[in-house]
Amino acid sequence: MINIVIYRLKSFKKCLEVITDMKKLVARINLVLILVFFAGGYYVSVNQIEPLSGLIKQLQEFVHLVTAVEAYACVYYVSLLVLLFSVFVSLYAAFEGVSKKEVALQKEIKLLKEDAEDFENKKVEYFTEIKKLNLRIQELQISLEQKVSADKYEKLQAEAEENANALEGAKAKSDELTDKIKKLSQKIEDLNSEKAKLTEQERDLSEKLKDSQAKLASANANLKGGKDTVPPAAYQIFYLLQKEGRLIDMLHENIGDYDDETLGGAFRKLHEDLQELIKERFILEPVLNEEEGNTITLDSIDPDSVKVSGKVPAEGPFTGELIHKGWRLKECKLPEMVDGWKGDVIAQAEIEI
Amino acid sequence: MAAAKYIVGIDLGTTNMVLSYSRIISGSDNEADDGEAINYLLIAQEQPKNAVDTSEVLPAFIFERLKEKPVLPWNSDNDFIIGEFARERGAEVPDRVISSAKSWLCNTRVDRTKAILPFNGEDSAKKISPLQAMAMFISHLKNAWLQEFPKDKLENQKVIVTIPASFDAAARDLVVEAAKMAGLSSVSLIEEPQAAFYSWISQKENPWRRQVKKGDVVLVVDVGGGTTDFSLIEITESDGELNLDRVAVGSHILLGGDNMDLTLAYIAAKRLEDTGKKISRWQTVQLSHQCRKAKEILLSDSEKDSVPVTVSGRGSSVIGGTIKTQITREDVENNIVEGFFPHCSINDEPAEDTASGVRELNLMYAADAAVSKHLAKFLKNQMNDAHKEYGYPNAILFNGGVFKAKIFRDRLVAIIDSWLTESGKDQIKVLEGIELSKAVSRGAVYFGQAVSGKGIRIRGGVSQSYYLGIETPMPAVPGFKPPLKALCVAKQGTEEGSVLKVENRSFGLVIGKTAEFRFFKSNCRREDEFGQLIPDMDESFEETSLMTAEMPAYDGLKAGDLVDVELEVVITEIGTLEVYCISKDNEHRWRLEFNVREAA
Repeated sequence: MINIVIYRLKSFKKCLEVITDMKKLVARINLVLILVFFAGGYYVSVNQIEPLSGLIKQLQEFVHLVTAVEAYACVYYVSLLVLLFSVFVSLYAAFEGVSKKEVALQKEIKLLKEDAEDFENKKVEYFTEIKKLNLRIQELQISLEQKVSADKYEKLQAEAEENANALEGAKAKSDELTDKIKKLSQKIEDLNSEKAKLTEQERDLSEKLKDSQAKLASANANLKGGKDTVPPAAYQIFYLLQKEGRLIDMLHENIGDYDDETLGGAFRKLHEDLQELIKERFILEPVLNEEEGNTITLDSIDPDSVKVSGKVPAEGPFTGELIHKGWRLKECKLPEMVDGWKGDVIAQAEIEI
Repeated sequence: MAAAKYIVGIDLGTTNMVLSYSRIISGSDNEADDGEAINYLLIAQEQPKNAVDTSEVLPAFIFERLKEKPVLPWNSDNDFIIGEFARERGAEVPDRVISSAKSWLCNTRVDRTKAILPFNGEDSAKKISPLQAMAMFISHLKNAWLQEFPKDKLENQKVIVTIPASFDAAARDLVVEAAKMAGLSSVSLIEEPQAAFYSWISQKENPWRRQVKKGDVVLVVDVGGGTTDFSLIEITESDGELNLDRVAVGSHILLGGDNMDLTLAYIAAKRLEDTGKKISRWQTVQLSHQCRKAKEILLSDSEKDSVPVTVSGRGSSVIGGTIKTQITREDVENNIVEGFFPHCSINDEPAEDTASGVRELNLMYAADAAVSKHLAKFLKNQMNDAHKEYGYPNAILFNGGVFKAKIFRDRLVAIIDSWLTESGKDQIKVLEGIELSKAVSRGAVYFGQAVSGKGIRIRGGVSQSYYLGIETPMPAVPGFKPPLKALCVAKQGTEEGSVLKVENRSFGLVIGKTAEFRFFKSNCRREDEFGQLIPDMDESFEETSLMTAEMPAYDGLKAGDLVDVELEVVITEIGTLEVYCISKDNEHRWRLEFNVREAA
């Protein structure tokens, strides 16, 4: 739009330029013409050149009123009018030409635009067409491939069938073999686990055996006071008696050299400590809770708990003096040993650094 | 978490620990007096010779293993022996044993999270921190519990841990921390004298309501193996029911029955040395055991004038190596009764220097062995306060094995009576019925029952008043520090669960630096209100751990910027103190942590 306006403005300017150019030209022509006319008129009137001077005279005679000069002037103005008219006509023609050109351009632009639109539409059409074609190509390709593979497949199938047959044979053989291997390894595994079980059992048994041997030994020792084995509790009890009451030291010491006062003082302490230990760890109670020295009568006697002496009748009741009321070990509160007793040390050697 | 089946009271004693428990009866609303029976856990402990034995008492000793094989069913690769065997080995190898871990926990002079124990041990020994030691004891109890109750883990039970009333906020924090390290994430704390009081309340032979009346102030005197603790409990009334208010606690005094035994052991040792015998350290330990026995005999049997103390020979010549002397009634009366409970005036103050008494370095053992003087100071402090009547208690409750001896009870009552008569007050009444040993752990369980609504509860709150030190702005003067003012951040008796904000006072803290406040406590300034600024700090303030907060840069603020904060104080349900700095826009909080590392 703006372009058109500019274009129009430009053409208008050009017209103006043409017009000014023409004005100058017209003025010059005008001047020349006036001079020519006057010179011509003068020449004609002076030299009485025919037919012009006769024409002028005829004109003078025709109008009656005008002088020769006036007649010249009239001719001049008439010819000037004719000239001006021709100038205007040519100007108009020039103008007409410009606007006609513009209209023609606009028409051209319109046409071009239409062309462009058409082109766009066509482009879209082409694209869809291309797409369709592409799809088609793909389809074609796929079908082509299928066709090709189908051909190949047949061949391959045939080949594969052959191979499969061969393979089946091989497989059957290998299956047989793997089966055999499996069975064999199963057997091996079975045998191994059996072996492990057996070794475990063996270990268990040997441990149990050891345990029971130890138990047996300790039971034996407990039963018989056996000389070969020491029950773990014996170690523990000796350990405590030595640790808390220094019993082993005391019994081992040669006390012959000490006077009674030294002995008494030392024993008092040890007695105290041992008493504490016994109270804490060994719950004791008398077998017969009577005062010693009293006469008591028992209907029957359990030889494990009561010992009779003197003149003993064959049958009860048994009457006699209670010499010793006896002791029962009701409870033995020994610390729980985590791994049994290790070694045979009941009192560690001590070193102060 | 499974529902708690038991209430468990752990008495973390200085020398002995006890764990008691009772079943929680759900749904019944019995009076406390009908509460479930209280039992004691048999605590499995290592014994010599790869043996394990159980005992109701876990001696508070940790021994760094030498060649002793670990035998407990749990943590079999443990480097430390805990309990009875540790005590025994500790007497033989003193450099490797840790004792009195609890007292180390409230020692503000050392870094309690640094591996410093055993304190005098050689540097090659593996050291642990007081905090770790505490955690190890709790962990041991936890494992021992699991042996007994494999289905009811201790972490799922309602656990109450006893602490000395004198433990300050930092030490309380550390106990909670130790419990956490041992895997007990939620424990409640109770002060030992309060626990003793609960134990007395729970006994039925002499119902407590018949022994005290409204308005009575009860003095609880708890002299244990290693520490002495005082508390005052006031009997008040509301809605026709008697209430109990714990109104004051004493300072931490490292003084107890063990000091008495040690005193006698030194006397005996001196007596032996005078006869030309050399006494080894091992023998001193043996002497101390002997002297305790002698003391108990002399205190309970007025017929006897002396008791022999004997230390057997250490070598196999047990009789020949025996050394022997005796402890006389005079020794006990002059050194123990007069040494620990001397007659004194209410105005007497315990000596501050090391002139007398038996002391060991490093732990802040009481310089003066006179329990009565410490008590005088405690009561005197109360008289300087708004509530003067707290200085004149009406009744006394004894706790701790020391008071099994009647002579000590009578002496202390006589001393207090002399103070009371001087001021024209009635004589003090001795409350009856408390079982002197294990009362604390029993009381802890009773407290657990009370908390679940089955019995009367002592209202305690914050045990002492706490203050932040605020520097007063003033022109710089070389050599003079700006005077310090004390801002009260916790008023004595403030109830648990309170959240308080210091109004109209803000502090400029610098981002990127560590905010640091000096922290003070006082147990005799009951009139100071929360948020009050006290211009003159006198000797009634006692400095404790620093409180610090890291101030990292946050959105928009960079290092060096000043941020205005206000203070918020939280007294937690379990009785610990937490102080927060809150930015003015209320969007950022920084917790002031106790700096237990540096000396105050």
